[in-house]
Amino acid sequence: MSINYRLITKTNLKYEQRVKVIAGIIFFAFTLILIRVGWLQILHGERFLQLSQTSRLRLIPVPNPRGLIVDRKGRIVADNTASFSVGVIPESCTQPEKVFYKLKKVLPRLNVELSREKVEKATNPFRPVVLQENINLSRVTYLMEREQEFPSVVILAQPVRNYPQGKLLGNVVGYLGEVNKKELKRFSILGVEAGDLVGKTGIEKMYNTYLQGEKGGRQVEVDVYGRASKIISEKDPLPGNTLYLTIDLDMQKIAREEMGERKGVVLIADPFTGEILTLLSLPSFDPNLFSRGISGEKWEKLSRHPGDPLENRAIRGEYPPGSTFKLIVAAAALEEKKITPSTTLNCPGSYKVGNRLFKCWREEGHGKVDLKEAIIHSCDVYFYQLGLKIGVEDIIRYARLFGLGKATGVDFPLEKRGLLPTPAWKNQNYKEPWYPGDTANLSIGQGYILVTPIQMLKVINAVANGGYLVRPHLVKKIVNIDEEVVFQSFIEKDKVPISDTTLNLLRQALEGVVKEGTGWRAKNKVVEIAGKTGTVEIEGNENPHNWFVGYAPAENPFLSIVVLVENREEEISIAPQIAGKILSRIFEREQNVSSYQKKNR
Amino acid sequence: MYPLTRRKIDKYLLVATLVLTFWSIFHLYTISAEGSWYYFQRQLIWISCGIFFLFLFCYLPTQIWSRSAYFIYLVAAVLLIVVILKGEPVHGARRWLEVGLLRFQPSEVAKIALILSLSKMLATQDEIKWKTILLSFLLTIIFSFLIAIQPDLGTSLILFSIWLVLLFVGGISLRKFFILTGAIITLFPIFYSFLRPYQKMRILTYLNPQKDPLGAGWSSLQSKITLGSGRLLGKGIGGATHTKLKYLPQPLTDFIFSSMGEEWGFVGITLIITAYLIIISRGVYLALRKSNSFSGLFAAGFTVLIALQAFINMGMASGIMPVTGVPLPLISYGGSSILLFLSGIGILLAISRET
Repeated sequence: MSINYRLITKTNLKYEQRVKVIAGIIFFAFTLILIRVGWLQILHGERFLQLSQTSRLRLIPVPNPRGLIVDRKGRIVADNTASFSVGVIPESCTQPEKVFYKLKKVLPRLNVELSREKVEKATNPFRPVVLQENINLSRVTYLMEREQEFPSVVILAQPVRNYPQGKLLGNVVGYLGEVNKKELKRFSILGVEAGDLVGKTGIEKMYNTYLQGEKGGRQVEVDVYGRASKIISEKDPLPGNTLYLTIDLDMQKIAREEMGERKGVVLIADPFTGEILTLLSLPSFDPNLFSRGISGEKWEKLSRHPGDPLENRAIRGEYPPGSTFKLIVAAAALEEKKITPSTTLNCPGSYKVGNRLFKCWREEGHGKVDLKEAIIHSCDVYFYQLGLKIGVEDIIRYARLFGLGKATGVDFPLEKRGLLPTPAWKNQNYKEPWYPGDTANLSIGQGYILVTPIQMLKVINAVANGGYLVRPHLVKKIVNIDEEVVFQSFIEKDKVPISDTTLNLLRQALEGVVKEGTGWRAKNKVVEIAGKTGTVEIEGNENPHNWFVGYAPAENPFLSIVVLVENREEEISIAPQIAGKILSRIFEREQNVSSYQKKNR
Repeated sequence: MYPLTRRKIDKYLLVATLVLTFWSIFHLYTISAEGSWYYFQRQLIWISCGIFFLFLFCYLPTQIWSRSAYFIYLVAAVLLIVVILKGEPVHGARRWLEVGLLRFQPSEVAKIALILSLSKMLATQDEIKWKTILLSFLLTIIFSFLIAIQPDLGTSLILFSIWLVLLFVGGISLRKFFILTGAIITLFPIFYSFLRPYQKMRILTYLNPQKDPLGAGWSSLQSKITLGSGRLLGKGIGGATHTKLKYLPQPLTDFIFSSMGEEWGFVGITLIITAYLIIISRGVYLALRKSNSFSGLFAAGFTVLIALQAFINMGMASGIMPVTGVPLPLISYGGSSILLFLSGIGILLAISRET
């Protein structure tokens, strides 16, 4: 060390040498620059050129309006509006405080502190920072007219799905949400990109392909602020198609009013075509909540709600059918010739199967009753005996013939199938044999059996229309922007293999149910109704579910109805009463029914 | 009274200077948007004035500068104090003084004033004593300090470097030189702690520009894209899309090198660097010829100033130096910088004409 040190200090450089050292360093430094620039321009030039092109050329998507959803008469169920937000561009916002205080005079809710923080934290100085969303139109126009006074402030418009019917059809139409990976693959042909909205549930999901439309695009040259300076090529957006629901808003509203705050389902349909005129599933939700970005708190409330408002219980709710199932047991008995219409069985109020006593709902019993009377008064003991005569296999076979235990084919996502229990099923799931008691329970629609309200609609439709299983559906037609029909609902019909005599007897019995039997609360002065009630005891809840499935007018039906009240709070059989009120209000007004009547043969 | 000048003007130096100057004004024209000739027109005026000074100083005897060196230093010091007190803040820094319609940066005057005074102080000394070193340090630190608080860190550091170079060339013993450099290296961390947050940010960004490409690393990244996308032959005259669409920040001043690279490609960049090397070679040749006289030291100091600024600016544009806002000599837009460099070249030309 010391030697080196001495060496350096002793040998002082001459002036010339010193200048040359400096000159050498400079030449070296400049060579370095030249190499670096060569590395950038020659070795990596292509990459940088590409980077420059991709930032310069931008494909600006031109959003297309999503298709409208309207009811059968063309009244709006879902359309599009704009939602306005106010933002600032951080790069040009030199005096944020001043701008914010000025803005606050127009937008009183604006939080100056928070806004300043947002602007300070902005990562891209050229991308607008949203300060406040959902600004009403008058404030937007005020700001737009005074553009000069608010430099760096921008108004951002966003298309927003709007559901003017709100809760009334929430769990029918569904809602939109950001596209996921799977959907992205499916809809990419329509120009759907990450971040776009697609139907997530309900009709919005089922018919997304028709409703989505196609995004347009514009290839533009943009400057750093994203301002387009030159359009290079263009493709027009294609609006989504207009979807006509089979729903009749008038009837839907009547059903809503009559159900009140009860939990449950109302289905009204045209039994001949399967068109669903009313699908009410309560509780419901307002899909508009999702359109403007649902808050975590509200989402929590909706998804944890014990009533499951997001579910469509008409199609996805599974319940024991209760006494409404007696229709099918009766049909099976007649068809399999186990009894004749005049065969009577005694009801002392209870019936012993094995060593278990099965009770009739009427403690004092019904005495000797025939099939029709047994249906009218919903005699349980009669049906225990009948069921045991028929046997579980044949009961299930007939249930299947009526479309239970399988999807109805309704145009709604993720339909539930219910459950038809068989000895084999029981053995598999409970490791237990099928007891005669299980058959007795099944005969009155209790026990393991589960159905969805829409399946019961299909059953009652078949009774009303002369024995045909028709596919219930929610969409009537879809028309494009030029009013050309691009989708027409179709009627799928299957004859249930039962005779007309059996069917006629069932219909007479159903008339009797309302006239003099358990469904008397459906009786009204306007229209004669036929139908069957059902009351289902639920384990762990003292309030039973209450069914009514029926049709009107009884003689020449053209509307069918299913009412299900979950855990009814009334002491009385409320479902037939609600059905009666709904149908009488519908039939009161000629215009409500004339169109269905005319069509009827 | 003054010795007669006998030599002809240094044509290489003059031509290289004029090539860069005219090229820059032409470039300014091609990257201006149609109809917005504000910067172009102003720069044209500044360059005209600058060329006037260049020729004026070229024919003035050089003794004037050595005699008035300390006086010029005083004037510059006053201007620096005035700018601190009364300067117009632009982007948060007080660097400009407004005189009527004109706006200029006293720090540019300070550069030439410091080179003149240091050259005078250190000229023709066999051994530079600690006392002289201390005095020269005082001259430097006063300017450095006044400029650093504007704040203009780049210029402040440049002045410091000039001081070191002139001490070295002026003949300071290597022992003293290493003691000084050692001291500076030790003091650097303390100096860093005095930096403003945005200055620290720039240094950190320089170390990793990709980390936040839309934030602080934006300038550096965009500059590299602009420069690199020019490839070998450039995008052609007026074809500098990345510059014109404003992706490149400060395209007239800090990053004019990148935008010239975009338009003229590697060929153009090679020409620019060649022109600088010609100017620098002539300066070095002059410094050698004039030995450690006032003229020789001034030639060395001023040449190093050009080289240093050119290196920092080009290094910053190509992403090997932090973004400091040092203008590219003779090319960047800005009246003060243009006047300073053309005047300085004028003095160099005058020195070259001396026998």
